[in-house]
Amino acid sequence: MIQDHIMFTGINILLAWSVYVILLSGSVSFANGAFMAIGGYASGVVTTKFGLPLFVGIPIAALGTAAFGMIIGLPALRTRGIYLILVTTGIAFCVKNAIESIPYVGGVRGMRGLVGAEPWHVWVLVAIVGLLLWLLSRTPLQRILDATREDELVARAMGINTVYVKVIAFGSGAALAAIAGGLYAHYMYVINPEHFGILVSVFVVLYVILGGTNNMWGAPLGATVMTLVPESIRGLHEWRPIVFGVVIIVLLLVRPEGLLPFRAPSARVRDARDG
Amino acid sequence: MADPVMRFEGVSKRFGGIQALSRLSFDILPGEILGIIGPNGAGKSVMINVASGLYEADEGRVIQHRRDITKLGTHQRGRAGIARTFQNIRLFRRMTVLENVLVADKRHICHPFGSLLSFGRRGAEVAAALAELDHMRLADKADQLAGTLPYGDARRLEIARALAGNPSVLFLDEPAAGMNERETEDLLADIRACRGRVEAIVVVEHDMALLRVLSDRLVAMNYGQLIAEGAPAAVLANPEVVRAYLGTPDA
Amino acid sequence: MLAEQILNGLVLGSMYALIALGYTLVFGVLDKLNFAHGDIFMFGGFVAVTVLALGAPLWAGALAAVVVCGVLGLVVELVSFRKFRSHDAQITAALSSLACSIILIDATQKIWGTEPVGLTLATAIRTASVTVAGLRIAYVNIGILALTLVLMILLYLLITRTRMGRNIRAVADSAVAAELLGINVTRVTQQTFFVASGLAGLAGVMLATRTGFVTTELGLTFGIKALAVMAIGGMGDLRGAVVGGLLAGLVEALATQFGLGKFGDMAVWLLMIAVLLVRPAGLFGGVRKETRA
Repeated sequence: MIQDHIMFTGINILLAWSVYVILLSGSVSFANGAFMAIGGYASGVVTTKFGLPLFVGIPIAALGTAAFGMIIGLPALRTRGIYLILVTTGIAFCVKNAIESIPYVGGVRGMRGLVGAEPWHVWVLVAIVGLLLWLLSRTPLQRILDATREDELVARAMGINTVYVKVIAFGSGAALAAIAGGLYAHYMYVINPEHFGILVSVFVVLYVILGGTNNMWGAPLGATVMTLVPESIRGLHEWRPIVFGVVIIVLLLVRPEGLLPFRAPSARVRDARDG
Repeated sequence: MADPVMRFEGVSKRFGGIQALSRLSFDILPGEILGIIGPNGAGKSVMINVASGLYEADEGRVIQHRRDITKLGTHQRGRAGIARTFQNIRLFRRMTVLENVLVADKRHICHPFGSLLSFGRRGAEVAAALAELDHMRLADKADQLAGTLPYGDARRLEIARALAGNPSVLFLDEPAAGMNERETEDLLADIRACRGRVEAIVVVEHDMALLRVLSDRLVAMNYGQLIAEGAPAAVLANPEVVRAYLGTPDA
Repeated sequence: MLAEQILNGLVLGSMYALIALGYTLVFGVLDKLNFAHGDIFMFGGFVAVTVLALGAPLWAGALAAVVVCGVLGLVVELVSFRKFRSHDAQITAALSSLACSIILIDATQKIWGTEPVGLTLATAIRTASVTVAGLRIAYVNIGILALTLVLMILLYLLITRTRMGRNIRAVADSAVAAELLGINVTRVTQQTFFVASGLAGLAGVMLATRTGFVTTELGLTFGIKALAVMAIGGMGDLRGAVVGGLLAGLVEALATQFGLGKFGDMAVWLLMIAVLLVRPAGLFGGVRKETRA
């Protein structure tokens, strides 16, 4: 159904941006599926167990997940590259296991009765996040993130507290994934751990890779392409994973910078004349 | 005598079986260009790494303006005004020349999230960065990616970036490496031009001729130890220094 | 019974160890992780299932699994690792192998469906056992333990006594130096992938024989735990992979014994995270870099 497509595209865009935000600080996170799960469950608890409306549940879930992300991030982000991939993968598995073991949230069977999310909610958020990211891209903070990502040692030598920057980025990504999770859960009516296996995290990271990591538009492009294209070409839907896999492999071989390779510098010479 | 800008006091540093620094003690005085000379492996780069906080000293103290900064971490040293360049030039290659200089702004570095609200100052900041680049003859390449710069320009950009943070001490790690005579002359002029902008400049090199003309004072190192300190001519004539470089002092 | 669970744990651990050895071999030689490895393990079981369904004996299924998985490993090496030689390409290679993983899982589902597929092996054979000192030991388990022991001895001999093993160690030490010595690094990498993947395929057959069926999730549940094992034992250290694998198997079996099944799973992951944070080189690895930036 059209409404589903609109909804899932928006959700995937938010998820892709949640990975992008963390990627900005130089970290690859495979835990965002887990953050999505926590967000979905937390907001579900607020709405079904406490009877509060969704617009209260989502922010609570976002803050809670951000806090969780930052606490976990503080030790985790001391590792990087492959090691961080492993740690975030481990986090993803632990979270899924933990959720399955908690009877209060339904264990393996999950929860039901989550209502209240509409596609327009998601797209308002997409617009807000997009605006924030666009504004960010022209500020000194963008440069600080870029420096942290490029060469953390030199960034530190210049006085940048890269640990602080990375932890905040991690928490922000977690919050964004949680929001996506909350909206997803309250659209689907049910939530259970099955929805949040490691492949979710993997796919979201690959959306960003597909679209391009050098700018803020690659992530939503990758998410949109991978959500809508399989729907629109008859028969492609069943082959989605295989086609996606092949596309990624070929992409990484011939055009690793992704579909949108450009980078928009945060400041140019001509800015000296304006402002 | 004025307070030293920085002081190494009995600093030792060991890596496994190698004593990289051995009770190294010397001062960096205000207003001076201090040369640090020594053959390869003398510990010069280790000394810079300890000064800038990348390595922690095993023994001894590092003092800045009478303040013991031995325990300060890397980013805290950066904020305290200790700036450095790297032997193999480490620019932010995928950022533009302009951005490399802009990112050094200490105000934003210390308050990264406050920087989100700084739209008003943008024009002035870019203009200031361009002025900085102009000193190093890089203003016309401001929008270029740092990774595309030729060697000499890259070196100068690294220095410009270090200066843009308004440091108190500037450590230059073998800045003349790989340069020909003409480029080295220009580099010397650039370094001298920095004199008023920072409290002290420390130039680490193994090229004796260069440091002879550039430095106000010279410190000679070998095997992690200080072997001579003082006026350049005197230090370079010191028999132990000569021996460290040539093997024996005789013809 | 405790003794039975310990045995179970060792059997499980043997399979983890075999898979972990594969991860370790590749990491040792390339400094990169092959995320498709767990699914190659999964595929091994499916190969055996097919071969046995055609009426062939178990050993033929095992042999087929080794060969097919070995070849799969070569394909993954070509597609996801050949071009990405530099250290910086660690993440790129990982992502590419993840894409291979996605393809492999889905392709397997397309061919065999999403339901578990049974192994055509008489249940009588699978459950036949011998009773020693009141302890029931299935022949299958003995077989797995024995075979694993043999394989490890063979691997040890391969690495330490053969030219190929010497080359592998040389490349693992320094690919650049090895190349200067005239070693064909590409050939060595291919050999490493073949051995690693073959071992994984064999482990897949073992699991299929033991449980009687295969599913496509095995790569992401069983196989990926071996990844955790490798990290715990020390990335790139073969002894670590073996010790880590056996340990993980025991932990899991004992957790089940004391009713903490789910937590046994989590325990392995938590242990991995703890090790990576505290001693990234793992239990057997060396010391990390000095700089504290």
